[in-house]
Amino acid sequence: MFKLNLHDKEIAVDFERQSDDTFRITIEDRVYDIHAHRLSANHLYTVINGTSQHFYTHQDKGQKEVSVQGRSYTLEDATQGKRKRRSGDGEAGASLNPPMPGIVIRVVANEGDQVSKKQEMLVMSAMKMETTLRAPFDAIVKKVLVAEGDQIMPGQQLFELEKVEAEGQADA
Amino acid sequence: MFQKILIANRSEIAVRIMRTCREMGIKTVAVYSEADRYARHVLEADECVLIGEAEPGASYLRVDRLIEAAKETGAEAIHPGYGFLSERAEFADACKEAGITWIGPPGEVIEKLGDKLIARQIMQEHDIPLTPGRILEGTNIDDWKTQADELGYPLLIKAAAGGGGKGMRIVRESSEFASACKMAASEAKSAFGDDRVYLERYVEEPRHIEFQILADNTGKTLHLFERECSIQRRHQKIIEETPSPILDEALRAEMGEAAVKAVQAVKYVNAGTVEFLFDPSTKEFYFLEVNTRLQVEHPITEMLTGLDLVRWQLEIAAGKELPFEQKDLTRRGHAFECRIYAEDPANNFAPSPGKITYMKAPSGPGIRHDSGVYSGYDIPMYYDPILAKLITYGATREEARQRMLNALKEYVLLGIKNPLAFLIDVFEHEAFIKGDMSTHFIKQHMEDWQPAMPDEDLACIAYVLDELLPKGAAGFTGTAQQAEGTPSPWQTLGGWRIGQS
Repeated sequence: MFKLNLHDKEIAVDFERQSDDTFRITIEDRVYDIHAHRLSANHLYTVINGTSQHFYTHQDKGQKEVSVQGRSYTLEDATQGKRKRRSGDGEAGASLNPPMPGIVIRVVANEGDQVSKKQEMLVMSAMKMETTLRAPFDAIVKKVLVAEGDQIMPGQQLFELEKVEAEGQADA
Repeated sequence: MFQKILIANRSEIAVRIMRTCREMGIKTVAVYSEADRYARHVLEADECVLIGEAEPGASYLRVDRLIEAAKETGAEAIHPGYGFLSERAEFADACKEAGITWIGPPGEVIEKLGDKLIARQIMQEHDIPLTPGRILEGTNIDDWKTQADELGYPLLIKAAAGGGGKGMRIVRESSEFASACKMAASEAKSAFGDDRVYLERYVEEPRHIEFQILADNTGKTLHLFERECSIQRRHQKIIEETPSPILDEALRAEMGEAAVKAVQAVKYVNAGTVEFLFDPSTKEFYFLEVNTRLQVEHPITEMLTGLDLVRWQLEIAAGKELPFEQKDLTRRGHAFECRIYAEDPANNFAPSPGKITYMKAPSGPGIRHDSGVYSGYDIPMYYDPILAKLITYGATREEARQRMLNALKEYVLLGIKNPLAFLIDVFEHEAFIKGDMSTHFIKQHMEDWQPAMPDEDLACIAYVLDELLPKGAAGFTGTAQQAEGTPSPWQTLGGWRIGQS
């Protein structure tokens, strides 16, 4: 039994290995009879319920990136405990983690400000583009850790935030 | 013909230019910045020269270093690619002064066409249609209204002193004009300190249609048909196709003639592209600008005509005359191109630098992949994030579209965010299938796009199987392997100059 996390959705996957290369996998009430063969470290050839499927995979620490029919999926083992989010990581479009090394052009949020989720907090320049970093959750800015002109790197903390918990909001 | 050429560029275009050079038996010299030592274009060149630090201003934009590198290696000609210095007259002139052949139009032609006002004036003198406009005369708003009515609606009121949308208003009816004009003028005054405005015909659903031209030293100028580049986002092209689904033969001939006339007016030599705005409601077209270089999307013209544009650029630069006439040029079938950028379309197209952990491009009849990267490559963040171009060709538009769809689904690109799923959705979109598009397509149909997750079960199955089928056994190493067809740095390391780090 695997418990997988696929883009914040938890999915239970039951499996039964019948031989070296045959499996039966069950997800909810859907059953898949599979023949699988590894072609390379990144490439699996399978026949699933009679139809062939090619999977391409790459493991990066706790996450596995999977390519199926041209689309990418990122999965991880849900039983490994909630993934440690880097400071300020939020949903797409709301993250205070610099996506790439760059320079701070403008610090928009100041110490003491109350910001709401997705509110603009900092503008940086990198790869010939301006990128806006937004609040991952409602918060109060306790401290601004960078200034205009500073070089910033992925994984670097830019603000000290105190999360404002709304009623019934789950902890990140 | 040249014995050795220096390519003053990087990534996919440098790789593509060098391929034709190799086919012609011409030695290639690549230039690279400190961030690009193991970039694909460097790996594939016969010789390479370090020209500076990562920032383009310290390397790829250094005319002096580029000329030096050509002299050091004995390169007889320089191909500037696109972007960087390809449209800078000073680079063309510097090459000429140094006795190095510039592969492109002469410096003075680049300069004339590079200045928008001068270019428009030249076009006006030669009766090339420009976007109808009217500089407002007098100070009486009633006079202005008359002029606006004469121009016709819908029209755009634009600030004379600046751009960026400030002081700009769309007016669709005569009755709206007076108030829109007052608002535009006051906005212009506060933004630029100048309340002057002018009028321009507004095209509701514009289509971007450009013509490829080729001209030799005798003045013979031909067009190689059109490309439609209406699928854009923030003025950046994403998908291009040829022929344009909206043009008929009469229009094609008319626009082609206008394109030829436009560049002949400045005695153009070598390859170039004339861009037009096409108004499908009136079937009128307006000159936008001339790009005095090879364009990103040139491969679709190559698929359509069977000609190698880079080869003809080199031939023309070496003094050869074009051995065919306009009537000899034929087009066959239909071609599409998708630009593959290191960007995340689900996150406002934010750039996604990082390492390509595994890559496998599609192949087969009618599929062309111009790539500047390889499996295992670390994408530097200093440059344009274009990774590759995927081009498909088919006997009909539908065939080429299906081919592209299948090719996109076969394309594997792991480790970085990329637009593959986005492109699949565009190619499956009803409007796209009908050829129903304008430059507003992305905004109208793909705003707030997020990837669909149709194969969640398959993704989970893939995860589980990947865990259960060991990689360690039977010769599979734990690290990402090279996909077939892409060079490994360890196999293709080219020569380098002794004394250069």
